Amino acid sequence: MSVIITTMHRRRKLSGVADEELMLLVARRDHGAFAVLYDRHGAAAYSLAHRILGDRQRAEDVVQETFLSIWRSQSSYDPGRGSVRNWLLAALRNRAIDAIRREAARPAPARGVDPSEVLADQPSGADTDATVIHRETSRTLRGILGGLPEEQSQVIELAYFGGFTHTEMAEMLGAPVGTVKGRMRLGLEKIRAAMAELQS
Amino acid sequence: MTQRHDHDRWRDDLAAYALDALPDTERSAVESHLAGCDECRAYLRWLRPAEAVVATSVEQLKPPRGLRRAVLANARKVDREEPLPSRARAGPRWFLARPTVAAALAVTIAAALIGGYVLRGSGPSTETVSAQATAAAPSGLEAHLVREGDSGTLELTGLPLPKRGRVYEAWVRRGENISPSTVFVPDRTGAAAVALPDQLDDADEVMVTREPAGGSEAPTTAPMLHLPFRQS
Repeated sequence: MSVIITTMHRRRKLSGVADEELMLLVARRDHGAFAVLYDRHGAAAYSLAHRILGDRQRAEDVVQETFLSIWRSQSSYDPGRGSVRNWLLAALRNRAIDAIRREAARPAPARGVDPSEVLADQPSGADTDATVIHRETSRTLRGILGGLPEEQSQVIELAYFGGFTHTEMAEMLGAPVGTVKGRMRLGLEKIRAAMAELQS
Repeated sequence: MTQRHDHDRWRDDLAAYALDALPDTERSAVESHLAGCDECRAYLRWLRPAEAVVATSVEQLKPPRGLRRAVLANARKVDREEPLPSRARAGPRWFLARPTVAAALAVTIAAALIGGYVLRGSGPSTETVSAQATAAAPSGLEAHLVREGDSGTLELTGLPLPKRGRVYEAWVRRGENISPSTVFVPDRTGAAAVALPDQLDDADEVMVTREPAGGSEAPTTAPMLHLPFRQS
C-alpha cells in the first residue's frame, strides 16, 4: 500500500531544533526527532558508506546499522567530541571499515602495490547514477583535500577510506613508518590551515 | 626542550590516531599518553575537524528511496522488541510540548470496525481503537488506529482522494486542547496508513478532518472520524 504520510506540523517544529537537542529527544526514542536526524544526515552517511564500501547494498546496510545503534542508544553522543554530524559520520566510518576488515577476501597489502588502485577498487560516488546533491559543498571540501601534495592526500585517503594502518601503508608504499605518519600529520595540519582560510 | 620534542613526536602518532591508522598496541599507548597530557589532547581536538573534512569531501549522493523507510522501520521494530524503561523516556519537558510518557500499556485490543468498541486482553503493548464515523464521513470509509505506547498508526480504507487544494488532517484531543498531528492523503485505492508519532499519551481521542492543502493549526471543518481512547 503506497502511503503518503506527512507529519507536517511537528516536523516543522523539529526542523528548527538543533542537532544536539534532537539527540536528547532521540535518546528518549522520539520517532519524529529520529526522522529529522536521518533527513539531515542520512545522505552524508550513505555517501560516505558508499565511498568506503563501493557498493550500494553494503552501504545501505551500514547506514541502517549505524542509525539503529543510535536509536538503541548504544552509540551515545558526547557534545564534547564535536558536532553531531561529525560524530555520526565517524561512527559510520568505523562500522564500514570494520566490515572491510572482516572480509577475508581483502588482499594483504604488498610492497609495490599501486595505492591508487587499492582505492580505485572502491568506486567513488561519482560512478553511480544516483542524483548528486550538495555538489558545491563537497567539491569545496574535495578541493581542500586535492590541494595537498599527493603523498599526503594518498596516505590520508588510504587510512580514512581504506582502513589501512600506518604499517600496512608503509609496506604498500615502500616507505618508513615514520614517513607515513609524518605525511598524515602534515596533511591534516594543512587541511586545518585551509579551513581557517576559508572561514576568514 | 625534551618535552617539546616529546610532544612533536606524539603529534605524528596523534595524526595517525585521528585517522584510525594505528595498530591496537600503539592506539593504547596514545590513549594512555592523552590521559595525562593536556597539550596533546588540545592538539587532537584541533586536528579532529580535518578528519571531518575528509568524511564530507566525498561526492554527495541521494540515498535509495527505501533506505529512509527501512531506518525508521528498524526503530519501530526495536521499540516493539526492546521497549525502553518508562523512566528512561521521561525527561525534561521540551518546548515542543511533548507529552510525558507513561509506561507501555500491557493490553492487546483486538481490531474493530466503525461503530466504536474496544476489546481488551493480555499481550504486548498494542491497542487497536475503532473509529466512529460522523455524518461528514464518506460512505464506505473504514478506519482503526493501532496504538503502541504513545505512538500509533491510523489505518484507513475507502477514503476518496480529497478535492484539489484539500488534504486530510489528523488531530489529537486532550480535553479542550486539540493539537495538529499529521496531514495526509490516501493512495489511489483509497487506503492510507498515517503515522502519529509520540503524541498519544494522555490523549482522549484522535480526530480526522478535511483541511486546506498544507494543513491547519486548528480544525476548520467538522470531524468526519473520532477515535476515542477512553469510553465515556
